[in-house]
Amino acid sequence: MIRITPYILFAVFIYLLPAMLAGSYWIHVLVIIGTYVIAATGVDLVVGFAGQLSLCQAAFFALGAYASAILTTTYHVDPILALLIGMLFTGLVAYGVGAPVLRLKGYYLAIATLGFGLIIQSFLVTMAQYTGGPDGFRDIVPLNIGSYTFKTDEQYYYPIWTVAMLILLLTRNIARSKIGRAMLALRGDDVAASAMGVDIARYKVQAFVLSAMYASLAGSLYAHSNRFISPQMADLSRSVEMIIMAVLGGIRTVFGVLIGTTIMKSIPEVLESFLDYQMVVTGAILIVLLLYMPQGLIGVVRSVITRLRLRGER
Amino acid sequence: MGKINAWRFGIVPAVLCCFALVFCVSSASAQKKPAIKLGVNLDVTGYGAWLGEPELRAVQLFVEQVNARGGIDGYPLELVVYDNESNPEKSSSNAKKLIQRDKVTAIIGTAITATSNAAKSVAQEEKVVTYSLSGSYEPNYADSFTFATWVHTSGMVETIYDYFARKGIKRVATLCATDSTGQTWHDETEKSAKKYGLEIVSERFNVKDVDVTAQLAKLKATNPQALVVGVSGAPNAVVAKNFNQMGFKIPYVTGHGNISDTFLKLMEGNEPETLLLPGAYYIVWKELPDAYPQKKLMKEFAEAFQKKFKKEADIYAVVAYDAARVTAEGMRQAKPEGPKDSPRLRDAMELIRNFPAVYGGTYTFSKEEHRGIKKDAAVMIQVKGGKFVMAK
Amino acid sequence: MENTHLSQAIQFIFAGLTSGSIYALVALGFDIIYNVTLVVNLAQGEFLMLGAMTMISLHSGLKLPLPLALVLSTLIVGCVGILFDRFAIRPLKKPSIMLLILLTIGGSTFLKGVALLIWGKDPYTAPTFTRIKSISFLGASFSPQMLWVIGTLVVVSFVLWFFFGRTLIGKAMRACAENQRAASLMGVDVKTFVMISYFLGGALGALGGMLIAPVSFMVYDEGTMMGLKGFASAVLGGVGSYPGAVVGGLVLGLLESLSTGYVSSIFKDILAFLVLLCILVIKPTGLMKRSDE
Repeated sequence: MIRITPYILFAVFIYLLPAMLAGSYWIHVLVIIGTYVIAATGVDLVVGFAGQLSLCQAAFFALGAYASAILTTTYHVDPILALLIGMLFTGLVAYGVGAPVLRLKGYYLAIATLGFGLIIQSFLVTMAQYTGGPDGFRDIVPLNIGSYTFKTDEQYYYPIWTVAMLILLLTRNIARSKIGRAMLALRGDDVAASAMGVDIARYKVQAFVLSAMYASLAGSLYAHSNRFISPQMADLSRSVEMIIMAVLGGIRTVFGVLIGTTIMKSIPEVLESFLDYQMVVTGAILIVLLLYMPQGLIGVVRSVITRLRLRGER
Repeated sequence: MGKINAWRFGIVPAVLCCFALVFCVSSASAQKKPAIKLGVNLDVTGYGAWLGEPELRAVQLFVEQVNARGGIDGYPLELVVYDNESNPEKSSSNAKKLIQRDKVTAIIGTAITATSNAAKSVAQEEKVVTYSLSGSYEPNYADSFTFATWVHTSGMVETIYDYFARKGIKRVATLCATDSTGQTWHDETEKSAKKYGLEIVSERFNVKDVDVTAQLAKLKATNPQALVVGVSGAPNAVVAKNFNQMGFKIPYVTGHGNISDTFLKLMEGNEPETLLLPGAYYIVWKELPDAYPQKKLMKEFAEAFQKKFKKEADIYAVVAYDAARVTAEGMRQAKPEGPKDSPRLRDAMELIRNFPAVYGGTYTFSKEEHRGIKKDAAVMIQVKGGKFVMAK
Repeated sequence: MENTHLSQAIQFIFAGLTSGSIYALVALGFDIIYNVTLVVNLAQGEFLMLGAMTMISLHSGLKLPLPLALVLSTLIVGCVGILFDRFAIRPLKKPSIMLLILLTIGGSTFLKGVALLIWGKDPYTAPTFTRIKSISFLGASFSPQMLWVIGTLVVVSFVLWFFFGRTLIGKAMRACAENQRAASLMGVDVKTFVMISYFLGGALGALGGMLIAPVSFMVYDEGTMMGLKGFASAVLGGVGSYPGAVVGGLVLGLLESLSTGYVSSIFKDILAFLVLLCILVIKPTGLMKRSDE
């Protein structure tokens, strides 16, 4: 029971936040953070738990976004249905790419996803008649559930964060399940895994497909709330950003994903006058993170607390 | 060990301080004196930076000039500027920030089509006038709150084809990039070719290509009388080099988005024999007779810009300056106090007729027409001796 | 009629060999680093960009003679490679392939950011190595810079073959790759060889950049695409195989050029990565390696 309290408190905080911020520009930023939390959770699943480096999460995000945009705006499909179709489609694509490659040596998935992401981005630019090409797809139909249409950022905030919290909860349960713990224990040691009869490849594929579906869901929500999407969203740098989001706060933790996403999406707001430095800062963050803080910020806080406790016990 | 500890320990409070800073800054900027606020959402860094920088300067010059003359009928004009880094996501965030946080009554920007399209939904949702500075952005649709500058690419293509007609050129080859500009050029050249009865063959290329000889070889085989290259900026250097290498002797025509000093520098040593571009009359204002109606306006702007920034004003500065002038003209009528007054501003701008343009020609707006400038503002320009001059 | 077809074909082939040579140079640098350190260096493209930018700054900016600028740039970027290893790779306490790849991506972003701060977003051009504008051959015309590019690849390939196959240091470096522990037990200084491999990787990347800059132009983010295509070439030929890098690069270049010429230019960008994906699915070890390697 006690373990659930932080989550309930957090949910209450999230629902009360818009009222506290009352019409501020930050609600718009929080809506974006909400959609990226969903995508970053997927990245955490495949990178943190399954230990596979997927460099095309942004491409899956884009697939979901464009699927929703095209189906709802060009073909007048119901938005929720389009969203689900998008997830299914992206999941199938992920399976097609992942299944043959995941049974190979470690870095092959990284290479394959790298190439795949670039192909998707190119495809979105070239198929201009359907996607709007390099100028993007504008005037996307808003999301509606039944007769209620979501229009403003305040209105999108609630469904998006509700979905985000549900996804975090779902992923936490997957992590604590038999499958999750098996993946974790045998991560990186394929020989031990197969010796114990665990079909590690199957779990890797499942994690990969699931993460793609999360990204697709996030993309669809983004498309409706932002009303405009462009092929830039599928770029490799965005995929890298998503990985930083998952790792920065603390890999494999709920609050870690939240912290990481919030920081990464707030950096451009904070760095307003120093924009030329943004690339250097992002690169430096990633390097420092991986070299000195692989457990993320939460890991840092944890080790500080542990150290203080040890000192107190002397 | 100790060194790393301090590092790790310092990061968390540092991040928290950053957040505190942001909240302080945002609340501080909420308190300002009442003035007519003009927002700027430009691509000052990133892919569109070579457009965004001069555009920002021109708007700053205009605001300075207006305030020096006592503002808009006494109301000071205040500028709020954000950089969207040529990033569509940032572009819509900036637009929302300008409207919700800074309470601007109109926004000037952005420099390229993708970021303009991103800002469009915000403009329509919030009902705030937004003036795009992108040549291929489409502002004409129902209840539009967005405006656009430049003669549209279709008008520029027609200017080229009118020139071809005068020179008896009937077989045209086009080489267009797969990016936004290239796509527009590809579509418009094909569309207008039918109207003018021209034979047209087309090839595409990627702006990142280091070599287009394959595409040029295919085009050469059709024996064209002119080549139209649909791309802006550095890739033109690659195409021109290959073009010369392959011994083409026909006119090389490229888009109006290339008219800048950077282009001349890039092409140095590689200019095709006959290098032509369609462009605004402003480009060749020095050659225009004094009787030309906008000449005085052009001269005043060029000299004021040169004096303030020690640089020559290029066409990007001009379109931004014109956008600011048109918006200010609307503000003179509507006197908007905040974003809620922007619909009145929009209606006032739609009533503007025959407003002289520094670009060349005049602006005439209406409910259906939010670009306001036609192809009579453009003329064929040639590169001779490292300068832009009127083509004969 | 025959002549036009032949000259077109020659045109396409030359274009393909030129870009293919650049890909091959990038792939070779990539392979050297991989062979000694097992690091998949995704910042290779940035070495290419830095080489070109440095040469342009030294030659057009500081007015140094071209050959001197070329040599100096190669040395400078080689040193950047060493620093890259020292600060971004070596400090890693628990190396894993995934972390290493991510680190090189972080490094690539950082280097791009630094280039942006130093040189800005402007594109820069470089003069061709020789003054002749164009050469004609059987109806096809091309720039002599293409000969420089292809020629350099031939020379570099030969030098590397000699170095790794015939010299003691080269053979020791190969030993390093096979088994780092065993090599160090036998008195081989692993750290030094790692440094050398990064120096060579940086130098080769820089060379590619300096050769290609006169043909097109260079901007701070131009390296990424080149790096990725070079990388695809290395995978195509078989990661770690030097003949594979050359074959992979040339094959990729030719595929791109011929598909542009005979099919359509639209798919040129994605061709490299489609080929990459196909290779991974069909024969992941690449063209030149046996499947059990």
